[in-house]
Amino acid sequence: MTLAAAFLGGAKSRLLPPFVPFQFFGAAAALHVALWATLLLAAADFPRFLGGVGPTLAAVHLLTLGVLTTTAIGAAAQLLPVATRRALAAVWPINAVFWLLVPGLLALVAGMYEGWIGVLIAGAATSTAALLLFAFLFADNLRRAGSLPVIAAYGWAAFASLVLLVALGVALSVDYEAGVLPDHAAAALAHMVLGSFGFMGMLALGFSHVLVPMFALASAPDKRLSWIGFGLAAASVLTGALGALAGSAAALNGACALGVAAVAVHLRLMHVALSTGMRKRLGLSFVLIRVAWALLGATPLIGLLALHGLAGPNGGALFGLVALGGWLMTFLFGILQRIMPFLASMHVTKAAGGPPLLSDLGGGATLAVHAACHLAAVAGLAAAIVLDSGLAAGLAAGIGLIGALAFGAFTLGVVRRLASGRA
Amino acid sequence: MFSNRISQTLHEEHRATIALMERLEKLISRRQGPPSAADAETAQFLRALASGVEAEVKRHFDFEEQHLFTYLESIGDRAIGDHLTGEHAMMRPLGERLAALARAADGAGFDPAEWNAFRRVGAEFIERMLVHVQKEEMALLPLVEDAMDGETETRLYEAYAATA
Repeated sequence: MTLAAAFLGGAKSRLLPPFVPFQFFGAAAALHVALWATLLLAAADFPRFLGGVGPTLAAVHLLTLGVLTTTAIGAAAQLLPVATRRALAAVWPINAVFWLLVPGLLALVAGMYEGWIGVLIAGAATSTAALLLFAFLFADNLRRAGSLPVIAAYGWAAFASLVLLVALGVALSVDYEAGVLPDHAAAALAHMVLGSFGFMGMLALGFSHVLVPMFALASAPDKRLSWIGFGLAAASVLTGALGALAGSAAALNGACALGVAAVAVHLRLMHVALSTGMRKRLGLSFVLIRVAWALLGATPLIGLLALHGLAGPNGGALFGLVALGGWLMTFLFGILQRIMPFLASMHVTKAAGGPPLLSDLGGGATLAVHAACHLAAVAGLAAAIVLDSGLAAGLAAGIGLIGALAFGAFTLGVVRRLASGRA
Repeated sequence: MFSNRISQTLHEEHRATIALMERLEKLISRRQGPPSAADAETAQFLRALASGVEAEVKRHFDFEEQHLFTYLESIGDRAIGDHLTGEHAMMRPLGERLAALARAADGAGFDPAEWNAFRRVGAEFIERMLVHVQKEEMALLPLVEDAMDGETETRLYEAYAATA
């Protein structure tokens, strides 16, 4: 059964209390503000960042754990039980995930920022417990997603990546104290590949097969091509992670080449969905999503250029920015500004009775400010890396902060209406 | 796309309705104020909108409520029909108001108050219709495709064709 069919067919009984997903969305919105504020403080070092404890590493984890993962968990916590038609056995485990993850990542980030290794390790351990608990809940639901085989495949790939990246994350944290790893940089690169492309990337690609046709009112993507795309993406992640650990340039080049092919298939599927879908005027959210797709296309190409020393002296930093800030973060905000009002509308009624309009729950102006600032900030950071300019990075971070505050205002507006129960 | 003729017919009508809604959205999004009464293209669209909403959408809703949802209830799936009927109830008065405003403006144009009302009602109708069609496309039509037997398909298809 499709996600939408499950929503309609008695989904209210499978809805979590609204505070469950929205505590994750609210935390992610706050951490989004913290991310840009931290980048502002880290501006001088940002253009050349290739790893190592300090403010930029803290900012990266505010993005990956604080914004991307926290949002993904909040959305998955609600969407998966509805798609699998199996309610969560209890709500407390997902609440436990929240109360382990947020304090854990705050400690991790503080430890990274200040170089407090003990705090960093404690934060890593707590975040790990949260992510492993989420992985268990996620896997349990995936087992029952019989009617969504391609989506389940992406989900299992994300699950496997999550377990491996968490293990590497713990090892990297302990390595600062105990020197347990033979090559810290190689493990960090593998951790980044698994996090960006394995966990978040697989979730983004997989859910796109459901959400994009749903928003565009299009048919489900072609099954054969979807499986080919999955195979290429999984091969790319596997090759990239192993190549990073082994320090193999050949494998990393292969991973980028597989990535180019995987992206080409994915974008072909998305293009067909949009061109054949009934709905053409898709609004601001799809401006962000289209930009994200363009940057997804650029990511493996920049990876190839960076491997061959053709992306400038800061090619590695540019690759990371385009993948995380350009593709994943842009895509996430495009989707989130549709998903949040939709989920809220299931719990809210209009003052005059009846279901609210989604436009009653969404903030057009604040979203426009966020979109403009976000895109300008990402472009500014890319320029800062290319020009090796801390000043440019600081300006871009300031613009990003304004955008983050605007998105925070949008989130607060939705949560406020949700709390009152009225649109 | 659908082998069931009911699902396929409703799907094609959804496509036409969405195209109509997108043209309406483009019209009410214009910053220049109300269109001129002399604009032939707008007049033609207003007529198409009025007849589309008054006749086609009403016919579509009536068929679903009187035949399709009762069939689904008979096979034990009432929830979808109840949910969609509730949405129909929200949209019917909006559609009637929108069609009335469109008919009044055809040839005479809009005064400022009428234009504001047309934009307000139009925006709400578009949004509710888009969400409604989304739900029917993703949930109702596949359910009909999977669940309906051949005899029922023939009976309901002929009943629907007779209302055209």
